[in-house]
Amino acid sequence: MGDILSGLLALGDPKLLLLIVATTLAGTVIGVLPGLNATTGAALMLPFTLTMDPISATVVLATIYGSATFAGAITAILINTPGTSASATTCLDGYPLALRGEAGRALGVATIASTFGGLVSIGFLFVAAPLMARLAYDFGPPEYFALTLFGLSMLATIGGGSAVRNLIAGAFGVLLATVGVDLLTGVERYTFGTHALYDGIGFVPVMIGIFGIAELLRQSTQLDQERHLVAMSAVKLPGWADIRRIRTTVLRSTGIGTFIGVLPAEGATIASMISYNEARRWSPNRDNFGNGEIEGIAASEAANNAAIGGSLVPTLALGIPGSPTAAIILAGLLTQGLQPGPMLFAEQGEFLGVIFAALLVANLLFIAVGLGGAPIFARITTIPVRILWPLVFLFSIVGAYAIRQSQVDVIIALAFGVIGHLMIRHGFSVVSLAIGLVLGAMVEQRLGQSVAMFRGEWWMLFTRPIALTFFALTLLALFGAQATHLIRKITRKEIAS
Amino acid sequence: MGTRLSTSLPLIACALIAGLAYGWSYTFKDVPPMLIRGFQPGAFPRLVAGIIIALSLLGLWHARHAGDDRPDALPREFHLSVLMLGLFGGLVLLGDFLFALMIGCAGLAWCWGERRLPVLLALGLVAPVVVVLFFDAAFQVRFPRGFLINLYYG
Repeated sequence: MGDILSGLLALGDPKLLLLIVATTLAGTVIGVLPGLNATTGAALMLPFTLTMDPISATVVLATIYGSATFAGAITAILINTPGTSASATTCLDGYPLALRGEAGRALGVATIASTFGGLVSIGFLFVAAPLMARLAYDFGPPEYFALTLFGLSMLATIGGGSAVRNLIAGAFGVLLATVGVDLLTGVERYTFGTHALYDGIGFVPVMIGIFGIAELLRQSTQLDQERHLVAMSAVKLPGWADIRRIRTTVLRSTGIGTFIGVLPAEGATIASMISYNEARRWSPNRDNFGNGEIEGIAASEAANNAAIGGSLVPTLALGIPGSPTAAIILAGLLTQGLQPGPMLFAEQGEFLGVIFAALLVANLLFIAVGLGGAPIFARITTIPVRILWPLVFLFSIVGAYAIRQSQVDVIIALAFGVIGHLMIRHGFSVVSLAIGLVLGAMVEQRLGQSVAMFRGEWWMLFTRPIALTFFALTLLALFGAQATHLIRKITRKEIAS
Repeated sequence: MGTRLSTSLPLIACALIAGLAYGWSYTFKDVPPMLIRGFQPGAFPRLVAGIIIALSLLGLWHARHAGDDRPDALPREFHLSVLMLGLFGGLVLLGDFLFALMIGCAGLAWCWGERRLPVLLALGLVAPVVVVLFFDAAFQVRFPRGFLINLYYG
């Protein structure tokens, strides 16, 4: 409680309050702009945050995350184009409602569901993160190694692509993390004698490349896309009849969103998809889903915003990103020299309180933005991409350069832009690459410490109960689906015989 | 490209890159036993490269009955954009950073169909100058010297 109070008191600092308001608005603009989403927005903001203190930097990235995710609903409803992938399911019912002249009602439902989901999940973040961090007090290098391995194994389920290709991308991320001079031994690895690679490949240019430049190249393939803004009346709060209709769905979706968010590497997109399907399964109006059912909008929006708080729990407590955007927040923390985990809360006492207060303010601002600003923000979507994306390119490049003031970082961002585009085109997840890169150094360090701890007898890793549990979960994440399939096949054969 | 080759070529490329990384890791120096923190510096990259090779082979095994997942052909604007990024990279390394930004921004807009001169001037002249000055003043970012940047730094 004292932390919440200190967090709220920190909001008395007009600079911090202004920063939250500004980043909420910036995040909303990012969320409605075509091709930009919370992850790209956070990647583009990363260089700016490195000039701030760690708490302000985390507040900025977390606020961008929340507001861009929320803003995705505006374009989903008004132009049938999800501002972020997490709002893809919002289109299914939001746009049909808008076509019927009920865009205001749809945006009102989205705003209330998003705000509720967001507020509950930040409450959960505040309670669960310190508890999870406290559990981690008992963790030694073997447990951390097993946990990080479990986080990496979850990459198999990212997005809808092939598990093998996602894991390959993640492993390449880990391999990239080995580039540079090994800090413990001073041995150069994959530097090819290039001085600029001695410090390794920076997170920022890679993130800017795979999320910013790669998206720019993708946009260049979609220049003929037209966007039509649906005319709308004023946005209004849902009436009692609407609230009664959506309340159960919002509660269920908030729970699903928060839970999915906590799972390593899963994010708002999966949360909204699962919630939408569950809402349709349980709803008496299931036949109306896809034709303008407000429960569909509520399910999608409550879940994707609830996933934000959930995803920050493992990110801050254990250093395992709960979503792609959380991976960028983690990269920001690591670049600032902070190590998430129990020590983070111990050393930065007011850290969680300020993030809690900032997200609280941001979620309350969503109501103002959603109800008052939606028509204005929706107009931003009509900016032609041939003007918007050269400007994004400009900020991406200067941002990539600014961190280490190195031209090599610019070339790295460009190269990873092309690599990222090729990866997406051939079904490899760039998110996996990013998470692998962020977790790579931790995996190596913790495995090395574990092997040293057991004097080279690495099999001793399997004698630690907590580590063994995480190894079992890793196997389940990797082979669970195949095992279930095999068991079903054998059972069917037995029944048939 | 054949039906299966379109699916398997990216995986073969992954295996080859990982194979190179695996082989290259043998050039890393070994350290005396007292300096080892768990394993030699080359061991972990070898382990990861080995995993990538194994996963690529698994992917190829899965792809043996795969259909044609050849992606759609890329439009002219995409190729022009990649060329523009290449030109931009060359200018950053060999020319002037600000000049490269000007060419990059205006060039991308032009490649994507923008032909209005005021817009091209705003993107290619005003925006890069404003952003560079902003980063210099607000974040104390020092840009590499070149014929245009020198006009500012003196």
